[in-house]
Amino acid sequence: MSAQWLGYLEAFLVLTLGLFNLLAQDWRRRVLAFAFQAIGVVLLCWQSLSLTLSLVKFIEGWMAAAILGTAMANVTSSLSPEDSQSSGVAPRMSLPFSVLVFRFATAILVGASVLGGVPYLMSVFNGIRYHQAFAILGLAAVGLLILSFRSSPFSIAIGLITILQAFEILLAVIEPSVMLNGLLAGVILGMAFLGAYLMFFERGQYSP
Amino acid sequence: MSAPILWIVLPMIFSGGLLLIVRWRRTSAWVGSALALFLAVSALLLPVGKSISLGILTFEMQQSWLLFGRRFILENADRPFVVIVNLSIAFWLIGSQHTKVHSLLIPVGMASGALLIASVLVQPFYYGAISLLIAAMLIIILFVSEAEEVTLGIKRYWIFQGLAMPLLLLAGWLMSGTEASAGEIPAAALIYTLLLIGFSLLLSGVPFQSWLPAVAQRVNLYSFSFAVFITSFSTLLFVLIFLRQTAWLFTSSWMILFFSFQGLLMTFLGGLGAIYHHHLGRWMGYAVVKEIGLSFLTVSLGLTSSQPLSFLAILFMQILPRGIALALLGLALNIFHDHGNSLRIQDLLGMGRRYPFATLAFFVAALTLVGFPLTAAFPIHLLVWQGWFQRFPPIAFIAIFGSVGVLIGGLRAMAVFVRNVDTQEAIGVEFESRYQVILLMLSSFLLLFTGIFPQWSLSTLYNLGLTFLRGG
Repeated sequence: MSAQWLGYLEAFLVLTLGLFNLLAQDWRRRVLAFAFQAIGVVLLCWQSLSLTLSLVKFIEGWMAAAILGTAMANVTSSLSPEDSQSSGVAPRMSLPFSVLVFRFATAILVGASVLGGVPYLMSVFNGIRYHQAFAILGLAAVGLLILSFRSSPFSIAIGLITILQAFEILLAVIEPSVMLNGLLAGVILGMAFLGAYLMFFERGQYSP
Repeated sequence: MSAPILWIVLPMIFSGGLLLIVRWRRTSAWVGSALALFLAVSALLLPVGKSISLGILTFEMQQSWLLFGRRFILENADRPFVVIVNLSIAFWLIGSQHTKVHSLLIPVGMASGALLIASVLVQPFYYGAISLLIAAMLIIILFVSEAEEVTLGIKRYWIFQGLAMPLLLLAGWLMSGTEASAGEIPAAALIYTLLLIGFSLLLSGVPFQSWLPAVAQRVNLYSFSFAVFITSFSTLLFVLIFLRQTAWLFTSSWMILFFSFQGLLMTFLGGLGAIYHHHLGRWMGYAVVKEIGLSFLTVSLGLTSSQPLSFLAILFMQILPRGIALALLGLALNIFHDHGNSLRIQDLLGMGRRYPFATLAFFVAALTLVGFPLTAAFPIHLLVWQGWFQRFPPIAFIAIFGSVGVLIGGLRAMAVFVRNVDTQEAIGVEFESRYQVILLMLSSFLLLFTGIFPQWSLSTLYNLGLTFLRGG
């Protein structure tokens, strides 16, 4: 398989996982998807960045997923059955099918406009490849959609980190600075910690 | 010793230490205010780049600090900013001794102050956006700890600040090294788009201002006043540093239009919201919206003027009246809140008879925020209003409307405070504690004194502003 097709596969992987995070209900699967999304980000960054710096993104992504997952496990296990029923945290809480269709349709529409933006991004930032540009815009769009459609701290943290991951891929191409990578890793972990901290205050009114 | 280590790294270490002793709230507040005062005094007295003799000890404060290939540069011109930030922290922490605030205010205040200073001093300049985001995240922790719930306003603030950082970082990267005119830069349109959205998000401009009243309704207003004061001032300076990187951006008509339009909308919406409020926290939030709008109008005047620094230095003059008025409002409203656990206007009936000093302080602070004659903010409001009357009178009228709206909201509250209540329970007088009375009266006196003799303090602040802007 050529490197170009491998790049497309990586972009497809991160976008599918991002989309899954937009549509899925079970927080365990979402955390898992979020963790695998970090692997896709690492592979996309690795094409422009050293392996050492790319691995930082892998560690930060998995740590963020671990922080959010642990916090969510604690929050859901500490809810009483009455709380769970009143707040709608049933083990299998399901949204109406129409909501999922609407979210998916919006993602498709946004995806179409993302496709139009890819050549512009490539013309502004030299050295960026097509699949990287597609992944950057796609991840940013998915992150924005998550922020728009979901309101729990868990989802806000995932949405913001997804946008920052898009930004990380772009920075890997245009400014491979050690300090910037370190700072962004700190910010992403900070976002995850903040999300976890906020989750504890939102228990009882939780809906992922 | 390096100046950035003294005024950025040391406060971060202090805040870590303060976090360990927050259990003893009063002790940590005293230690925190003493440390902030120490940092402010040291910034005032220690020149950068010159040898200093302290007894047998002679040393030189170096102006730069290298970290992973990036520099933090603190020149003598930046010292006024360091002094102001640390004095503000000390002022708020001293006031926090006898009012109910979350103990996290002390370490978070110290750490966020250091991060805000770092955001202005870091090179390349656009790395400051990351510092601002980290400071915002610390403030969110404070808000949530106080509200003990995650409100929609807090979530909005988190999202807005989280989105601002990548946009500004990217715009800064695109701008770096471009000294040509905007027409010669291929990505000029993208830079403008990123900057305009990024500035709106960062400075809580329209339509991202809605979190302010929403958060003010739920959190402790003393902490809120500290957070919005210190962040709005620092972020505005960060934006000015951004604009001054390239001549084409500083003189850009897009930027002038942006700040004028944002200022117009913010003052209008702030005034309008303040008129119809039913909650004093929301009223304070709208007053802050109007104040940020006034700062936007000041920046816009500076950008259109042939001598921009003379107008931009007004931003430093705004610090004293705005800071004291916001702290005073926070303190007075906290006292009311402690009484009835509510700041809804119908629950505050006859409160002026129970807490006369807090009511008086509320009145003076409200008058100051709207720029009423003989209060400290009047000369500043007058300068901005005059400037806009000469350039484009409708904006001046809207700016005055914003002030009048906040005043009407404040007077509505005052009418409720001083209303006669016949019930036996309401007649009992509960006066504030002695320490609170001293703080309230001292701050009110300071606001009136500065208003009557503006030349004694405001001119000093104006000169500090000029020094900072000329050097930056």
